Amino acid sequence: MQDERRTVVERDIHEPDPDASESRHIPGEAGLWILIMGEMVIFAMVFAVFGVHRIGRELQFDQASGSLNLTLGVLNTVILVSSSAFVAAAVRTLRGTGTAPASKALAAAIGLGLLFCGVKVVEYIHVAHIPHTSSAGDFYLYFFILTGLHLVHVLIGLAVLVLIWRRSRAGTLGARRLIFVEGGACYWHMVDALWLIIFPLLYLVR
Amino acid sequence: MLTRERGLSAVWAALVILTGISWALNHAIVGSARLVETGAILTIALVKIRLVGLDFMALRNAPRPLRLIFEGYVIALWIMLLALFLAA
Repeated sequence: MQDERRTVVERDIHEPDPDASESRHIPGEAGLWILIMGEMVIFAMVFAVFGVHRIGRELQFDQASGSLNLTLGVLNTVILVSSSAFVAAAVRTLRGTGTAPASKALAAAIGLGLLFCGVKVVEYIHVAHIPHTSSAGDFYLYFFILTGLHLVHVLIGLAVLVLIWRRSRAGTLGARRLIFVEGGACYWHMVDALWLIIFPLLYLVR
Repeated sequence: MLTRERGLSAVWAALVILTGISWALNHAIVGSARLVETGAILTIALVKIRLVGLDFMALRNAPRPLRLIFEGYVIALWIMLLALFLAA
């Protein structure tokens, strides 16, 4: 009997079945996913409005896009992707499947998030000084709407990350709080994912 | 909890490399190849979002309906952006 139980346990440890319903798990509160998917749909609608408005004005939009500082755009992409990776590492540690020190990983993620905001401010100053025509002006309007909306989400995400980081340092993040950590982390990953679309639409597509 | 998780370093490296490829494609955009490169840049962006969803958000181990909703969103966004930016 004991041998049989050990065999079952060993099989579970060594051969996890990701399709088994008990091994599947919603990261964060189920209700949070309505917010996350809702936000992603709203951003998709803004992307659609931008794409439709661009039709017939491709030349002006492309010229305006070419005036953006692509290096800063690439830099901010790497910064946000790295921040997201640190958050994912912290969550894995708190979940018991990772080894990175959670509070240090969260601190690094927050630092990178702040750096993203700093680079964005530098970029806004750069864009504000670009002379432009009215058609190109529409592109810059979308630039500020898309990146501004995104920046608001970055700030909200950063506030949540700071809360999680403070609790991780205080050692008050037990298993019961994991759902809160996962939810905050998924919100931050959503912020990252949205930037991964905004970046090519504004800086790369011709 | 028993889960199948991909290494975060590998996912991060893939995201950075894909960003670099998009950057290079942007510089390569010329003449009639513009549509191909624009399509490639948009496709790479959606592949990156899928990586973030499945491996950073851990949707790879989420219940199937949630994962399908996310994957459906990625596919729908990809089709919409291709239609808008390649038709232009």
